[in-house]
Amino acid sequence: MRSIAVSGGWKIFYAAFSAATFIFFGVSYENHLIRMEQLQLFQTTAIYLADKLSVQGGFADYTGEFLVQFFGLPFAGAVVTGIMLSLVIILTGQIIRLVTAREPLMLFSFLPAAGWFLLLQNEFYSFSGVPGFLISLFASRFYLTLKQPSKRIFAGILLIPIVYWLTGAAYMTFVLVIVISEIIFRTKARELKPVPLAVLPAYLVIGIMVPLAARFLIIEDTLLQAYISGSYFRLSIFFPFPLVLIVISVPCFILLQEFLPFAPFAQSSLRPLRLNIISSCAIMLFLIVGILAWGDFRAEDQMEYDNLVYREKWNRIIEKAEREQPTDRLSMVAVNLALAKTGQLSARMFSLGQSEDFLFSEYERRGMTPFLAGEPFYHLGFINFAQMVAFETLESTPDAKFPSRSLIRIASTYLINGQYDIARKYLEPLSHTVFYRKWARECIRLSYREDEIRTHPVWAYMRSLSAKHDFFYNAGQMDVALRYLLLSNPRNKMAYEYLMAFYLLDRDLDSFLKYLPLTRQLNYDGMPKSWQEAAAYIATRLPDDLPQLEGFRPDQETINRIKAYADLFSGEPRDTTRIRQEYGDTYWYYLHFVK
Amino acid sequence: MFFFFLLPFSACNEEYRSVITINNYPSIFPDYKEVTIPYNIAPLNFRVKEEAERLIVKIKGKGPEHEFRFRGNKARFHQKDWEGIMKTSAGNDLEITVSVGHQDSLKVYKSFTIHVSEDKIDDYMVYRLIMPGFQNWNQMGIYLRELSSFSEETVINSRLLPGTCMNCHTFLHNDPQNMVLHLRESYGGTILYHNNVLEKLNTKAGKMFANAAFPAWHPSAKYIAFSVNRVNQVFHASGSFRAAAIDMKSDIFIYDIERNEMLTSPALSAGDNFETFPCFSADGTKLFYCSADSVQMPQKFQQARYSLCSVSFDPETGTIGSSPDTVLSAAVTGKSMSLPRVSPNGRFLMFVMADHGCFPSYNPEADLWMLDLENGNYEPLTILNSDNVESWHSWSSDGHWVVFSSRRENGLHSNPFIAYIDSNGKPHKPFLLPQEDPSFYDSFLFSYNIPELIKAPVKVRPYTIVKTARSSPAVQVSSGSGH
Repeated sequence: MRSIAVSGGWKIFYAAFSAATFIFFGVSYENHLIRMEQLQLFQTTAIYLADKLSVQGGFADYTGEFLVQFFGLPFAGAVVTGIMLSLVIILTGQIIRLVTAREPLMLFSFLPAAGWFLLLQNEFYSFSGVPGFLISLFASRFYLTLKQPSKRIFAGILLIPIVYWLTGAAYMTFVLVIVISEIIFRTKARELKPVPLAVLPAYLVIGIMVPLAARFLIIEDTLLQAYISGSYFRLSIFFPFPLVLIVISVPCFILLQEFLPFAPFAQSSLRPLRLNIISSCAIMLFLIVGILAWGDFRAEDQMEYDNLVYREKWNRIIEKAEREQPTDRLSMVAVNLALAKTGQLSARMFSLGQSEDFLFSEYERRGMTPFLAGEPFYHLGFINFAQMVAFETLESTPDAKFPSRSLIRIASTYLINGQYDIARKYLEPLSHTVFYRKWARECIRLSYREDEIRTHPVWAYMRSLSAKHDFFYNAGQMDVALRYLLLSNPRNKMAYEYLMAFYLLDRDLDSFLKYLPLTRQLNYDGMPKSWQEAAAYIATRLPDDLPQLEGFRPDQETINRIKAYADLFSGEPRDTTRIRQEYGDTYWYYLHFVK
Repeated sequence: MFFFFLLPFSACNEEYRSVITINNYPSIFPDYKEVTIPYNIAPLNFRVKEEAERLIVKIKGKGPEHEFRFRGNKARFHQKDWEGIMKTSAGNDLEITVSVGHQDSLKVYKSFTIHVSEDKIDDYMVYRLIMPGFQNWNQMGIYLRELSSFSEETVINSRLLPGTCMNCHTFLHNDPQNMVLHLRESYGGTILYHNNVLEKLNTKAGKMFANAAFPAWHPSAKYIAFSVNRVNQVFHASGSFRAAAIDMKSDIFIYDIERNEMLTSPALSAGDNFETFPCFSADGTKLFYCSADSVQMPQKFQQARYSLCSVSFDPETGTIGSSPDTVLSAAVTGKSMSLPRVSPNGRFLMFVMADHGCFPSYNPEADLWMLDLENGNYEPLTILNSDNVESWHSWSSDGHWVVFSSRRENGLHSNPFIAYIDSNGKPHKPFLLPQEDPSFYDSFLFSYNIPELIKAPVKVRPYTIVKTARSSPAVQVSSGSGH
């Protein structure tokens, strides 16, 4: 068997494709891969494997999850994706060569892998599809290496149900490849003798009947899912057209290679080089257009904020926000949380652009509840609300898999609440994973050991923050919730800063003034910048000194600045560009210009 | 408290250097000690809550003593071995001796007893599996479990009907020949299986403010009583009571199957009161239900207390009485009653009592109580209750078994417990539904909702229910005249 990378052009483009895959998924799209890992819970138990193998496509799913569990490690996702797509290229090329007895056109060998490259950009496509597709290609290649027709018949009849059960939808690739190959063997003289003609409809009938029989005898699933399984697309009611293209791509490329007019020249010395250059350009163009059309870099950006929050890299969040100034709600929820965690919320929040709904994420029953929605709750001490959001995420994933990140959060909240029996229930599956085993087992060990919990750096601290007074969740009255939280723990400085930020963003200066005196109990070294700006603004609006501001006078610099701002604001015509440039980081600008 | 002494090598435990006899019961999960079980129950597999390399379980009943040896800390009996023991043990006690081998010593625990009742339990249990979340859900299903084995089949699930919530499966006289269940959201409607016909109903008729819920069959199979509820949830910020469900508005209607119309009466849909959870008496001449005076919701939801009421019903004419009786007043008990279920012989009424409200799943103090309809006495079923929620009970067809869901294991997940009720209404210690792997409940993240005992498997295939559910439009129930 000739190596696929014999020619120089192949080698160069193969290396370029691998490098592009690695760079794209390792650098530009890394957070999507990390998210994939957070959305699954791969367990190493025999029962988990048995459960997966009990449904069609389950082995592909199991293999995919096994690989994805490493995606939390730096660059692991990119390396694994690169290797898997490389295998797709190699096997596609080998299959085309085995059937057509010619050097495969580079375009045909690379396009299925390029297709997967693009699909993996979308979070609704499961990574499990790639190993499923590869298994199908391996089976096709194996079939084509059998020289005796009788062996091929036996292998074909046996492999159709096996590949179906292991891979789900990708079995269609296998069926089509072997049928088309046998047609070519019949019409063109090849080394391999064709199987009898009657075998070909038999292959097709078996291919059509196997899922129906499985649905009748073994599985209970929709007709669509019986054919395709849940290993490819995370929404079970669709089998999107791009996946159909991927499934039929290899058999179609075999046909094109065999019957298109340029194919006979494919083995001449000049033609391949020229065709490969054209192919390389076409694939690159396909990828670039595909990335531009399909790549969701806004989601990637949000996921980066989310992952930084998850890893508690607060300074990196702020640095990123300073570079890019996010404008979407979820990212800004992360930024405000990072500012609060680093004690900078009241000082710097208006330098990073604000809107009145940027403190907490929206809670609605639509789509998957974002992981990030629960993070401010957790870090503030709304442990039950963080638990609620984690449950909502757990029960809103499109493919109904257990997200490891949700289970970790749920277990943590029950541990903090001292509900150890429940915590253990969620820790148990985590203790059967490769990467969370150690953490989960330590948490199981800690449960019911109140003495250790009370002195634990994480759990004891989180307990100290948590609400002791009961109240109900009301997304429209988070200030009330924050006040209750402060009542439970008057030293919860972060809750206080969120409360004051809430009033400033809500333009509720009466409430701001009312709770300003609490500052004295929380050991501030002077008033934070945004509070000074609010106090200065209030002072300008009233003829007399307010008693509530006694002891909370803004510094001279702020007074000078607001005077200058007032001059500029009242100037005719009003120079809003200059106001934004000079005062865009102030509360006054937010008050007057942000809607 | 225990004592032990060392013994030399014994004939049957020759691999252990020391044998320690412990005068305590073994700590096992599930707790099957001193329970009463039906002879047609699946093997009571269990695990000991300690490290073990070897487990020796001796079972002594009427026949010869059986000895089973297991590796590790789990006792998992073969189905045939277990069936053999059960066959000869109906009406007798089994003495179970558990010995735990660890390293070079064997601990022999005090024997405990399991009583095998002569009364057979209905062969199947139907329940809904759903994760105990808040508002979202992405997988749920109604399943059928054969009680003599570990076999479980799907009745319907959200894999087959994506985006569809399914609940309130109810059977007449524990017979799946008459079945009703509700679908919500996608493919919403009420699925009715009656006279071998499966159909989908749109039960929102006339002035009803929502679709029908919480069904209860009339013994004649001609009527189904429903409540219509508008339910809200509130979420607590602290403590272990994470949420509460609140009935904002509720009424009761009776569906006349033959006429395809909803009947009601001012007694069951009074403007200011909440009426919910209907249940017919065994002779069908009375409808029990729960009723509470209207309070400001959700602010004062903890003041909503439901009384157990009844109203007469004439099955011949479909006439609902106009003057309801208060069977058990919330003003007297100071508590709130819900989920009345009359025993098949009509003598007992089992219900749930909680501090407030009518959705006991959210009330940790909710307990099962029994009312003797002959003499009006009522008392808690103490041996069935725990310090967490007990609710959603279902009688067996002969009235000797009851299954109910309880959150006693961890306070969050509901699990099905089965208990024997003797002819005098006396309950016996319940046992958790056995599973093939005794560690099953340790990591199973779903709750068992509404366990119902039935005598035969549900004959309607899931695909048939799917086909009916997808058929549109549903049969519209008409608004009948109030009798």
